[in-house]
Amino acid sequence: MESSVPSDELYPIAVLIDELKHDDVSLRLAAIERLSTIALALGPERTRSELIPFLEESLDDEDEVLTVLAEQLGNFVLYVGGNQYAHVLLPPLESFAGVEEPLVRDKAVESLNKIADEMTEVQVEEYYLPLVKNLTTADWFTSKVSVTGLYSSVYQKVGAESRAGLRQLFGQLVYDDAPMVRRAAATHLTGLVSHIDKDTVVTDVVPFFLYLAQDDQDSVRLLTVDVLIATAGVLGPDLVREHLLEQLKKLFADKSWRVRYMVADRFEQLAVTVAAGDEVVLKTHFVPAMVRLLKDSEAEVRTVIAKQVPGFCQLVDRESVLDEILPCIEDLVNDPSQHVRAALATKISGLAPILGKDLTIKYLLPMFLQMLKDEFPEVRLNIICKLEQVNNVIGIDLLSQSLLPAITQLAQDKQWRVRLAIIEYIPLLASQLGMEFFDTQLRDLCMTWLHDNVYSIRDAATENLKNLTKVFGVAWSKATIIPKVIEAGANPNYLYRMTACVAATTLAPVVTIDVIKDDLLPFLNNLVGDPIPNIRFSVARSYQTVQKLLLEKAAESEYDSDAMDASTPAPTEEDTKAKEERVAEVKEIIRNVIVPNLEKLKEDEDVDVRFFANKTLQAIG
Amino acid sequence: MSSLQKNLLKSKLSTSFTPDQVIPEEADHAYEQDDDDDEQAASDTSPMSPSANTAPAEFAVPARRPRKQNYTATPWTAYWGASSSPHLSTPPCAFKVYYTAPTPSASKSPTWFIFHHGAGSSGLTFSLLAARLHESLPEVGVLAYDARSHGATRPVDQDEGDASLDTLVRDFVNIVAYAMGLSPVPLHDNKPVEVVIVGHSLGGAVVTDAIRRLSEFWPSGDIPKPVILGLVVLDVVEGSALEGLGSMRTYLASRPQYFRSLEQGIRWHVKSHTVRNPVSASVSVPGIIQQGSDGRHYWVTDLSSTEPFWKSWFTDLSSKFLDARSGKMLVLAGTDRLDKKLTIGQMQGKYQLEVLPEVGHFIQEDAPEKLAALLEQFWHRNRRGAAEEMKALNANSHAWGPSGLPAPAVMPRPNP
Amino acid sequence: MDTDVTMTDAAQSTLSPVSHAMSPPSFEKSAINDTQSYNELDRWIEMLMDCKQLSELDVKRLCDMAREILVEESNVQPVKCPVTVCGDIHGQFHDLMELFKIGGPNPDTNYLFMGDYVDRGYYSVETVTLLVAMKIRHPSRLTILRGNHESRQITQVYGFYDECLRKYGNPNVWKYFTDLFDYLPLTALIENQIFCLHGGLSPSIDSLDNIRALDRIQEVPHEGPMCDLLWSDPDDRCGWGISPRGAGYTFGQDISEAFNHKNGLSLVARAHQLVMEGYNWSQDQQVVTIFSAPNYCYRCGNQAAIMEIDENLKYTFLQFDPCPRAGEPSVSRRTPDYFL
Repeated sequence: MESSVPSDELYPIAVLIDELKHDDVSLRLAAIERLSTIALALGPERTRSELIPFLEESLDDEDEVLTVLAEQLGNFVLYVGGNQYAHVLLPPLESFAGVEEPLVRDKAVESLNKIADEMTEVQVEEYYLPLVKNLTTADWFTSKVSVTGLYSSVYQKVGAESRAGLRQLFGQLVYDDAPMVRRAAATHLTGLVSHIDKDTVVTDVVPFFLYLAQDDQDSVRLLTVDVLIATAGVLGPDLVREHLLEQLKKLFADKSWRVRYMVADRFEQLAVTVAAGDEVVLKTHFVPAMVRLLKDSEAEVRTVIAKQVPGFCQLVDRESVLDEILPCIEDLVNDPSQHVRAALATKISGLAPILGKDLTIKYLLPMFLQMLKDEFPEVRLNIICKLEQVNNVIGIDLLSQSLLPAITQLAQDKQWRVRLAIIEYIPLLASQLGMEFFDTQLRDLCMTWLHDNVYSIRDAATENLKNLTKVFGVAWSKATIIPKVIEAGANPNYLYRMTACVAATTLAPVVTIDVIKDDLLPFLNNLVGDPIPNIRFSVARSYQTVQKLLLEKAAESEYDSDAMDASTPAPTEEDTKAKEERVAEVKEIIRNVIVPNLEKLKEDEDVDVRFFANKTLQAIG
Repeated sequence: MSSLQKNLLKSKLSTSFTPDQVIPEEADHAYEQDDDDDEQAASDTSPMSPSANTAPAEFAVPARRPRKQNYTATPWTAYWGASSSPHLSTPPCAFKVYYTAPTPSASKSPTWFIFHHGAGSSGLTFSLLAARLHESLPEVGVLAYDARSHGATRPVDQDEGDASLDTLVRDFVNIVAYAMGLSPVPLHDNKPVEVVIVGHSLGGAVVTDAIRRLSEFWPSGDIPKPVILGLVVLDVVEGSALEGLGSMRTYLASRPQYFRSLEQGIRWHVKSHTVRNPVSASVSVPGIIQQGSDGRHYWVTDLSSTEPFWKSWFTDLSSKFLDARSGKMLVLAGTDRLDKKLTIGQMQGKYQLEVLPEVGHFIQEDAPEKLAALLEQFWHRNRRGAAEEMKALNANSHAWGPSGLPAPAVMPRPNP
Repeated sequence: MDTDVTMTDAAQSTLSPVSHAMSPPSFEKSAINDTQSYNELDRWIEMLMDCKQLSELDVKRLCDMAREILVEESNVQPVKCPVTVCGDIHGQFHDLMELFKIGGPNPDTNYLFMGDYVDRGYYSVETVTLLVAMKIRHPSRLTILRGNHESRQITQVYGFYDECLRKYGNPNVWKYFTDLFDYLPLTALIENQIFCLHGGLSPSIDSLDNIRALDRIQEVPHEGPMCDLLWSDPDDRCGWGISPRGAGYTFGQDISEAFNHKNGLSLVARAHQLVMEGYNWSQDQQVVTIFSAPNYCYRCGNQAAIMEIDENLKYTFLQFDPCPRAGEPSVSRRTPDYFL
């Protein structure tokens, strides 16, 4: 990294040129990577007359050398003397496009496309079209596979007559005997079709599509789904229905699940491009297809189609949703495959805005409840994570009441991430349910999380206590929460004492100076003598937060307010004086309690305790 | 790390959705690659044009370095001591056997390494490996043979086409019995002969199954059974093999149907990276292609005709391998081929796994020296002498322990 | 073409003699006691927690610093309780993050890792860099032992070498780390009672003093006591046995009982073997195996576990599953061209 790399100018060109023919592959490779340097030194004329012919004979080299070479040649137009000489690069790339190693071929095709972009129409006609023809009519399938990737860029470059020729040549690839070639043709037809005008698409491309869509290989047929979408984009709704709809219906019901998987995966997109808002088409063709796919025999197909449901339902009338699609969704809730259910769980809440409040309560809520009890944790988690959408539609009241039993159960779920997801919902539930309801139903639960054996749950529990304090106020917190935290500080296991220490620190910003002074600080002071260094340095860290908060709170004009929102009246003289007294008081606490403790910790036998004590002392100044 | 880069690029390219059930049509194509380009290049030195521009004369673009590889065939006699064609097994075949017998030793009981090749290959695939192994361990004999429908093995009657695992395993067991008769006599102190069995690809499946069916298929008569010291499987794993079956037809269809000459056949194997070591290809490829009446060279084995058997060859291979009670070694080319069972087994220390970097599927051909060294180490650890040394160690080990230990319970207790 | 060298040759050809004088003078011990170094380490750790690799130069500096610390540690490194004991990680970075989510962050929670940080998973570089950075930042809060994968030869085959090459474009980072691995302690001893190591016991070792006497600063040998400590496995059969792994031994309950008795130990805690539940008692609770790479190799379906030992030497096992991940490469097996 630091070793000096010789700059391009300084690197001895002669050495590089020698290395082009070196026996060591890595040296040849390095030389090829710096081919532009060599070309620059040789100048365009000698690059054309000597370097390129030399490279042309590299066909026998290692594949990795050829890969790099094929890539480099794509950027070589400049070095052979600009556009007018671009064609000299074609012969070596034509050879590379026919080799056995697909990586080399791919790079050759990439480079050929780049070069095509830089050529004029005349050049393309003179040099490029013969290349395309050679490769298309080659014996070996490798060349034919490669050439399918060249048509799109060259097609745009040439006149109408050559275009017709190109389409005809492309047809040979579509009708080729080797499935690899037909697959490649189907793949690249998607790009090519967008450059062809509507009428020609009807006469030329539609037959290609129909041929490929009836291929006996499912790996070819499935590629035609994207061809169909691209073709439909050119044709517009009327012509699509005239020429493609029948075949699409066959693809919907293809005997190979891979093809059905593909149409299921593109279902919404197909509905948008092919039906284009036509209700009759949607109702007569797409809704039944969706129903069939939702009941497909293969779990993979049901998994992908489940994800398309909300998007598709937005396109169709409510009656179809209720009568046709919802019954299938109800079946999927009990699908034997957990992957199908998990996929459905991520998307099902997206139906709530479409159905509206009443129908959501009637149809979706029971499904949620059932999925919340799913034996597969991912299903439960996916439902919980998307509750927000339902909440927006039916309101938290109804949601929390109907879901409360399920939620208390999930709060003790074996999977900690499910517990975590529930904890994050607690403050919202608390604010909706009110203190009394909360105290009887959920408070104890919240305290058990402080003793969870998973750190992240304990950590989330402390944050949760802070948020609950914001909801129910400092008095509530002092009476119900803080004693429990202090209790946790006596746990025989240091990890739980650590949680208590963190909880005290996390609560500090949302309680009053008095609570800090009377409850939290004494608790922390007690931990200074803890036998475990981790607790001692944790206290040292906490002191930094606490002293800062004390000073800030003392300086706040609104003192002792339960609700911390400050409606700031103009400070009176009395206020100012009181403030000064408060500041003086907390400074004394810091000086007389916190600093001496930190001084003690500064001399601790443990290096980490000393480090954090010093750090806090520095912050105090 | 050329293969690394390649794999990297490949993995980038293979992200698109590509279902693997591909049934390509037969395409009648031959592999014909002219060497003319090499020759032309060698004689064609680009002259410097004196009028040429800025670049000084010493920056001459060189003539293409003649990097010509010799693709001439090498005879099997370069690597093996002897060959024979015994009639064995049911239905009987004249099996082409290549071997080098153990050099008689006064102090050591003889050991044989017996090799089984993969489908479409031949015994000669082990030529370099076997020669190398015998060279460093003269007391070890090496034997490979052409399986039925392969190489120079021919059926005694007209019966052809049985490629079932049962038949292949029966053949193998009969070959092992045959090898017992090739050992130099007299056998040392009547100690049983020790055998390490090594199978590549399909051969791995055959030898793994053979280890548990040795008695079942052992020929009647008084040939004493050997001790199977170890089982070595080369580059085959049930999971990836079964997964790969889907693309097997594509692979077969993309191979040339015939070659213009033997040299062209060897050249194709090297250029297509099927066999990366040209020295090995020159002796192994002549075992798998043969000249037809039209002068062209065709594949000896019609692999696609064995398709009905493919799945059964590999099913349960991982369990059988893990259950085998001898020493076990799995040697793989590349690291990512273990299936779930074998990954767990490996991580529980149930067998020895070796992964050789920068080799292709034909490990024995691409890296014969490395593999020979591994086999040698494997043999040293697993030979009976080693077990006796271990017994001695255990006899002494209690010397440092507390005396009067209670006999330990064998089963671990359940978790507290 | 293949230059036919044996495995051993190949490994040794890249093996440079480890020289103690190699450490540059700029990193003396005092260097990691100043605030600037602490800040830099904290910055590195923050980056690494985001799974971002350090620059090659920074890795070099990190390894130089780490060597200074590790060279001072014993072959039988004493560790105090409380501490959380962990097994194999194998480059499963996101699962290591999951482990910290379960067990708590370092330095708040003390950790002892029993080796095998690299190979097999996709993030060996980030995993081992992070653990080493944490070790330097809080040496008394984290202990890292050597596993059989912390070796030049093994990492060339099972992924760490390739990963370094892929992520840095050259093998320097691999060299810095594998040179550092020679300094990792072989075993640890918690409160003189729980003996922790990667593999298991060795017929050449009957007391902890035997281990203390080993010269560990070297590549893991192919045989001998140091190899055994990193390779051996407990077995249901009594006595010593040939390990099917091809290195180390198997040892029976009689062996572990005798070893624990002689050395006044209550337990051998080790890793090295995949256990489906993440931990597994064996040999009448003389030995426990802990494995901390869930769904090992992204395909084994096993749970992972860690063992929390509190200040009263009471232990609790926490099991965990792989962290849910989106966008991580799923197991994509290269279909071989030819395999019949």
